[in-house]
Amino acid sequence: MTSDSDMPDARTLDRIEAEAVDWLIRQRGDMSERDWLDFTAWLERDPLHGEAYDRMVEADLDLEAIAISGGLQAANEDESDDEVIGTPLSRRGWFAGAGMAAAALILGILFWPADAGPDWERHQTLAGETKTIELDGGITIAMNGGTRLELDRDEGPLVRLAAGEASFSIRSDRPSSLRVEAGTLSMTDRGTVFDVIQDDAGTRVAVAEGAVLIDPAGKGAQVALTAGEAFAFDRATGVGRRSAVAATGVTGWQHGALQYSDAALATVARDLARNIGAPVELEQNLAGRRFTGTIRLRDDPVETMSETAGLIGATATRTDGRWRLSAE
Amino acid sequence: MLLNNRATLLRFLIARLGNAEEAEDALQEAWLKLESAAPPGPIAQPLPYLFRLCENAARDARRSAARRAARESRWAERDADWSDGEAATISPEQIAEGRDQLARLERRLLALPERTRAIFIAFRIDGASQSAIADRHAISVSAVQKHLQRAYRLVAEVQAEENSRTDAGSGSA
Repeated sequence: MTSDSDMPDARTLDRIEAEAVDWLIRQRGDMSERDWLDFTAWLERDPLHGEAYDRMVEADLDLEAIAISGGLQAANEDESDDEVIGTPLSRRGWFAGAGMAAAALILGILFWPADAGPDWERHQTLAGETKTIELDGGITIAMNGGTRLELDRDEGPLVRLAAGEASFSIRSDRPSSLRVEAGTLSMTDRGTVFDVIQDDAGTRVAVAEGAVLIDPAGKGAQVALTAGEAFAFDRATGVGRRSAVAATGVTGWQHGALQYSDAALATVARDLARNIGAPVELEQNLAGRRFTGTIRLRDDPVETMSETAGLIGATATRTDGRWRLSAE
Repeated sequence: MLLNNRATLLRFLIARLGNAEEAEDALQEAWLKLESAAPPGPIAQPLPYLFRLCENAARDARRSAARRAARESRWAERDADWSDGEAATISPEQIAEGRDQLARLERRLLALPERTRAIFIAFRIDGASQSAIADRHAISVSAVQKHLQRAYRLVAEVQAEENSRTDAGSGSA
C-alpha cells in the first residue's frame, strides 16, 4: 500500500473505527434527540467518520447472519483477561447449544423395537427442550421443543418429521440426498441450511442458505427454494404458497429470535407454543391480524409472553398453564 | 410532523450519506415509509423515531449501492428481489462465492475467545443490555464494550481484506 501524506495515521483510523463501533452499539438501544444530534455532529466532523460507520454497519450484518445460524458457538479456551467484579450469575440461555444438548442426551433417544420395514430411529424432545443429531455427510439436525421425528440413516438419509420443528444444516463437498417428510430435498450446493415446521396446519419449509428442491405433495412436482424463500403447505386446503423471509431469521429459534414478516397471528401463536412448551390461544378479537417483527424467546415464558403481547398490542393471560392472547 | 423537522433530518442525512442528492432521496424514502406504515397510536418521541426512519433509509441506500457495485456477492441470495414470485437470477457461482466469503469470515471469528462471542450473541441477538451482560459475567460495562469492539473490528478487518482482494482481481486463497 502506497503511503499518502493526506492519509490519517493508524492511530487516528483506530480511534475513528472505535468511535464508529460505539455509535453502532448505541443505536441498538434507545437514542434520545440529543443522541441523534450528537451523532449528526460526529458525522459532520470528518467524512471518514461516516465511511467507518458504513463499514461497521456491514460488519454488523455479517455478524448477525453468522450468529443467527449458530456459527459463533464453538467452544474454545477462554482467554479473556477481564477483571472480575462481583459474582457471576449462572443462568442458562446464552450457551443454549451446549447446555440444552447435554440435557437432551440424558432424556434421550428412544428406540422402539424394529418393526418389519425400515430400521427407524425415533427421536423426541419434550416441550422447551432441544436436541442436535449429527448424521454422516455433514448433516446436522437441530430439533426444537415438542418435536418428534423418525430417522433412517442409511436410506438417503430419510427423516420423517412427525410433529414440531427441526432445522437442517448440510455442509458437504458433494450434493446430498436427504429426504424429509413426504418430499425429496436434494442439495445443490456446498452448504445448505433450512428449517421445517410440521404442525396441525401443515408443513412449512424456509431456507437460510443454499438451495433446496421440495416436492410438497410427493408427486414429483418440484419447487425450488433458495435462501430467503419459504414454502408453506396448508393441510386443510391442499394449497402451497411461496413467500419471502429473512434468510438470517430462518433458524433464529436456536438463538431465541423468531422473525416474522406479515405473518398471521395464528402462525405466531403456534410457533410460540412450540417454543415455550405451553398452549397459546388467540381470542377471536385478534383474528385476521398480521404481525411483522421479531419475538425474543426469554428463559422465562412469562417474560416472552408479556413482551410478545406488548409487541402485538394485546394482553396475555395464563390459566392452568394455558396462555391466551386477546386484543387490548 | 416530518415537515417541521425536515431541515434537521436532511442535515443528518447529508452528513450520513456524504451528499445532498442521496440525502434527499433517502428523506423521500423515509417519508414514504412514514405514510404507508404509520405506527399504531401516538409516538412518545417523534423526532428520534423520525431519525430512526432516516437512518434505516440511509442503510437501504448504501445496500442498493453495494448491490449495484456487485461487490456484495455474499448477500446476493439474501437481497434478491422475490417480490414478483420468480426466482432471481443469481448464478451458482455467485452463491458459492458468497457462501465461501461468509465461511472464511466465520472461521476467523471462531478464533475469538468464547466469551467475546457469547457477549456478542447476548447483546446483538438476545437483545440483552450491556449492564445485564456485565452482571452475568461479573465484569464492568466497559469490559463488555471492549468485547463488542473486538468482534466488530475483526469483521471490519476481514471485510476490508476481502474487498481489496476483489478489487485487485487476484484469486489467491
